[in-house]
Amino acid sequence: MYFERQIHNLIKFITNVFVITLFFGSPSFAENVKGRVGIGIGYPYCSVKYGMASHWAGELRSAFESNIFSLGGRVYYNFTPGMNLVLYSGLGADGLLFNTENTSGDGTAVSCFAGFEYFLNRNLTLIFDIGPSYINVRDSVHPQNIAYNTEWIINLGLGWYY
Amino acid sequence: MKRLNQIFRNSIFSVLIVSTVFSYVYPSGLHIGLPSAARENVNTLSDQQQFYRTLSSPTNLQVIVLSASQIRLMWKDNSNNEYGFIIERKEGVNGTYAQVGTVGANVAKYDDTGLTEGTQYYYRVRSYNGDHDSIPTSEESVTPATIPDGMVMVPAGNFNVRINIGEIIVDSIDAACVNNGFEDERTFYPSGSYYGRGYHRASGISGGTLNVVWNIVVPVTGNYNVYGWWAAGTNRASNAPYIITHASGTFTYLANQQANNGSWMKFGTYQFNKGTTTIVQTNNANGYVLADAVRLLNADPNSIYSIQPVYLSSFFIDKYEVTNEQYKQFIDTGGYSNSTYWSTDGWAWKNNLTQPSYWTDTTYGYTAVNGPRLPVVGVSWYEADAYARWAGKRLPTEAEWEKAARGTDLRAYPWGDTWYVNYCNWYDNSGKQDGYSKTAPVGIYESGQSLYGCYDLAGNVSEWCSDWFGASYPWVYINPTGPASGTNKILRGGSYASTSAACKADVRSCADYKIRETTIGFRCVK
Repeated sequence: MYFERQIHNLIKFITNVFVITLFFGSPSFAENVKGRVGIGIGYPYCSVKYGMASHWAGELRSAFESNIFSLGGRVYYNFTPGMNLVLYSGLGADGLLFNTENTSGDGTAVSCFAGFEYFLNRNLTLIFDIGPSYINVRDSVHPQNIAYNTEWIINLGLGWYY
Repeated sequence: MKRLNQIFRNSIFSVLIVSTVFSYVYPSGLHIGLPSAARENVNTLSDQQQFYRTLSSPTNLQVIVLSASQIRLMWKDNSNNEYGFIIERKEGVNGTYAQVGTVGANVAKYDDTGLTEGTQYYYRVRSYNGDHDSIPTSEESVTPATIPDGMVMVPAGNFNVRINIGEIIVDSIDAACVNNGFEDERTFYPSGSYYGRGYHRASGISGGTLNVVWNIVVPVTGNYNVYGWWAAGTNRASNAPYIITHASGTFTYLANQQANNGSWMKFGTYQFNKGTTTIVQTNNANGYVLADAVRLLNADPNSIYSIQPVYLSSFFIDKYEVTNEQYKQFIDTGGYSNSTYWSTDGWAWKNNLTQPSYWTDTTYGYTAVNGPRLPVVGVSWYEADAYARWAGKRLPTEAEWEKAARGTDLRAYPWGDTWYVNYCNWYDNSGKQDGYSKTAPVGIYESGQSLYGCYDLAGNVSEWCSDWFGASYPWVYINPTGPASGTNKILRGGSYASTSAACKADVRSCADYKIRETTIGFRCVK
C-alpha cells in the first residue's frame, strides 16, 4: 500500500509539472517521430514503437507482473507532432495469460487512452497516459467461469528514440 | 487546419485535467499497468473457483432391468457444480471397475446396453467437475433377465415402509372387535355417518350383560388419546358407557350418542403399556347404544410413524392396469366358465356372472369410447384373482405394490415427492386438469411413471392387492403377505374419484372383496 501511494503521488506530481509546462512553454528540441523507432520501458512493461506517420504510431508491448503476462499492441494518434510535449490518444488490445495458485487461464483487454510524451532531449522521453480498459479473463479448466470488469490504468515510463 | 489543431489541443487538455482530477479523487481505482488491473479480475476468478472445490457425491443409486441386455441406472444428484456423472461397471464381485459412460450435468439416469443375460454386474456412479471426481455411490448389483411382455422388473432388496405405530383404529367388523350379544348391522358400502362398513347396536337398560369388546394391541408404551365414533340420533343413549382399561386401571366414559355425529369424539388421554388393552362398550344406558369404531392415537405426534425395512424378492409387475381389451380375452377364452381359474370361494361367489359389472357401460366398459384401452372396472377381488390365474400371474401383495410405486426412496407419489395435477387421473373437478372425468386409457400419463416404469399407480382406478386388510401395515421383514384372514382386501393407489392426498403411494385403503365398483381395477405380478 505504501508503494502504491507513493506511485500515485509521483503520478500527481508529474501530471502537475507537465500541465504547468504546457501552459508556460519550454524550448523545443523534439523531432517528429515519423520513421523513428522508439523503445519504451516502464512499470511493468517494455515496448517497441514505430512512427508510421507524423500523427500516427504503432507499438508492440508486453507486460509481466507476478504470474500475469500480457502481450498486445497499440495505435497512437499524436495531436502535437514535433513538439516537446506530444499529446496523444489511442486504442490498444492485449492478450492475457495467468497462472496463480487457485486458477489459470487466459483473457483479453481492450483499452483506450490519452496522455503525453515529453521529450527531455532529442531521444529521451517521459511517457504518461491514462484510460479505461475492459478486461475479461476465464479459467482454463472451467471455461464457463469468467470474470470481467473495466479498470482504469496508468502507464508510466521512459522512451528512447533512435 | 489551425482551427482543427486548436480543437485537438483543447480536447486533450480536457482529458488531462479530467485524468488529473480523477487521480486525486479515485486514486485507489487506478492501476499501474495492465497486469495490475487484470489481477482484480483474476482474483475474482479465483474466488469463483472455490465453487468447484467441493463436489457432493450422488446417492441412492438404483438399478432396474429393462431387458435381457439392458439395465437402467438412476441416482440422486446432490451437487450443483458438476459437469456430469461418470458411470462405472464391473462384472462379478471380483471384477474391476471401469468407466462405461458419462452423462451431463443434472442428468440422473443412464441406460447401459449390450449386456449379457444372467451375468451379474455391479455399478457405481460418481460426479465430476474438472477439478476432481467425487467419491462414488455405494455399488449396486443387477443381473439382466428377460422381461415378460407388458411388465417391468422390480429388483430384489430392501425398501423402507412407513409403519403407523401410533394410530390404531378398530372397526366393528374387524376381528379385534368381539360382539357379545349386540345386533349386527353390516353393509357392503360405507354409508351415512357410520364408520367403515356396519356397526353393532343394542337397546339400553339391560344391565350391561350385552357388550362389545375392542381388543387393541398397543404397539408401544405411551400416552394415547382415545376416541369413539358413532352416527348420532335422537333415539340414541346420552350415556353410552365405554369402559377403558389403561395402565393405571379402568375409566368409564359416558358418551352422548345423541350428538357428535360421524366424527371422532375424544374420551381422554390415558397411558397404555405395550400389549393388549380393551375398551368395552355395554348397553347399560338410557337409549340405543351404537358400537361402531374406536381409535387410539399416540399423544406424541413424532412417534406415530416408524420407518421399517422390508425385503422383497424380485418380481415382475404389469406396466399398466389390466385393460378391458385384455380382460375380454379372459372372457372370450372361457374365463367365467372354467373353474380352474377361480378359487373355491370365488367360483362359489361367481354364480351366474359372465362379465364384470359395467362391462357394456358406455363410459367405463369395453364398448365405451377408448373402451379397449380403459382399465377394466366393476371386478370383484375374486374376478381379479381369476384373471391373474388365467394369465399365469397373481395379484400383488400390498408390499409389492408399494415398492413398485414408491421405489426405495419413500417417495410420496410414483413419480416423486411433488404433486402435479396432470401426472395422473384423479378427482380434479371433472377432468379439467388431467383431461378425464372418469377412467382414462392406461399409459397416457408419461410423466406419472414410477421409478420402475409403471403407469397409473396413482389414480385412474384403485388396484386390488392380494392381502387382507389389517389395521396396521403388515410389517414382516421378508416378503410380507398381510393378515391370514379378514373381511376386506387391500386397495392401493386411489382412483379418478380420489383427491390428491388419496393418490399418495403410501395411502392404504380397502374394500369388501365382493364389491364391483367403477373405481376399482387391478394389475398383476409374477
